[in-house]
Amino acid sequence: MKKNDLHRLWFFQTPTYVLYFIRELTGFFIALYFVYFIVFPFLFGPVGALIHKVIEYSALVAALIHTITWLFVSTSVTSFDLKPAQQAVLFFFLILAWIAVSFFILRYLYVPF
Amino acid sequence: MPLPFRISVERYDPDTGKSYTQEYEIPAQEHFTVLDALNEIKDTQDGTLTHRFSCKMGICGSCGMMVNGKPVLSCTTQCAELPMPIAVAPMRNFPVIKDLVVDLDDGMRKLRTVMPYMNFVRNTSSEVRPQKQSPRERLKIDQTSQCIKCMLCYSACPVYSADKNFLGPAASALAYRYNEDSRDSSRGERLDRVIGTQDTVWSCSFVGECSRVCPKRVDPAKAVQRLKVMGALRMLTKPFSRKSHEKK
Repeated sequence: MKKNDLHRLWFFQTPTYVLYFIRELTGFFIALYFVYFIVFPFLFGPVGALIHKVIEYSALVAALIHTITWLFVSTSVTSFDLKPAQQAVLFFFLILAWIAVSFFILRYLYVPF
Repeated sequence: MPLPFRISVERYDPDTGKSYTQEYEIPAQEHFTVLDALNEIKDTQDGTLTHRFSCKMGICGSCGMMVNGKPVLSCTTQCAELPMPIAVAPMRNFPVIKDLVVDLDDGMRKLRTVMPYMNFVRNTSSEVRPQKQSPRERLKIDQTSQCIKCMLCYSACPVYSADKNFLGPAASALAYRYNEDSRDSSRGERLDRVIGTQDTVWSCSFVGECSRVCPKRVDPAKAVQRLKVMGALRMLTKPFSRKSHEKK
C-alpha cells in the first residue's frame, strides 16, 4: 500500500495550521531569551545593547502571544461545562491573576542586574 | 451553457505501484456533489476509478477524501462552489489501497481501544438499574455523540501523521462521550487506557484542525484536552482511591 502522509510543508496549508505554527514558534523566542540570558555577560557595547533590545522585545511579544492564547484555550477545556459568557469571565480573571503574579514577581522577587 | 466540471483525481494502482494524476471533464450539473461527479466519471468514462461511498447524505462517513487539499465528505461538497479544476485525492495519514480508497484499520483499532460501549451501572445484586438520563445529562454528550467515524479528523491531524501512537481525535471524542455518559460505570478503566502507555492522548498539541474539518461539529480537539485534564486528575487521585487499596 502507498504511504500517504501530510505534505512536508503542511503548516502553511490552512489558516489553523499557520496559527498553530505561530503559537509553537513563540517557544523559540522564549528559548532564545533564556540562552541569551546565559551568555549575555559577553555582549557589551552598542551592538550588544541592540541585540539585547531585539531579543528582549521579541521574547516579550512571544510570551504574551503564547500566554494569552494558552489562557484563552484553557477556559474551554475545563472539566466544568462553562457557557461562552462564563468562559469569557474566567478568561478575564485568569488574565487578572496573571498580571497580579507578574507584578508581585517584578516588585518583590526580581533582582535587576 | 455552464462550463463543464474539471476533476483532477490523484490515482494509485496497487498492481504496478504507480501514482499519477488523471483529469476528467463532465457536463456541469448545478446540484452535483463531488461524489456525484466521481460516480458520473465511473459510470460513463472510466470504470476503473475506485472510491468508497454508501449513504450519499453525510451520515455513514464512508466517502471522506481530500478535495482541494481539505478533508471533506465528498457527498456533502458541492462542485459548483469549488474552483476548477477540483483536485481530489485520498485522505491523508492513511495508507492508500487503490485510487481514493484508504486503509482505515489503524483508526478503527484505536476506536476499539477506548471501550466504545456502555457498561451500565449495576446494583449490589448485579442487576442492571433502570437507565434513566435527564436532558441535562444527555446534553453533556450531545456534541460528541454526533461522531460518524469518518476519520477526516485523523486525516487533518499532523500529530497523528508524526506519531502513530497518538490515540487520535475521533477515538478521544468517543472515549470522552462514554466517560461523560451518566449511565456508564467504566470511567476509570477507560481513562486508564487513554492515559496509559499505548495509544494515549498526551501527544496532542492542540492544532485544532480536527475540529475545523469535522462535518458533524463534534469538536474532538476539546474532547482531547478535557481527557487530558481528567487523566491528570485520575493519576493524582488513583493511589488514594478505594479500589486501588482493595487490589493491594
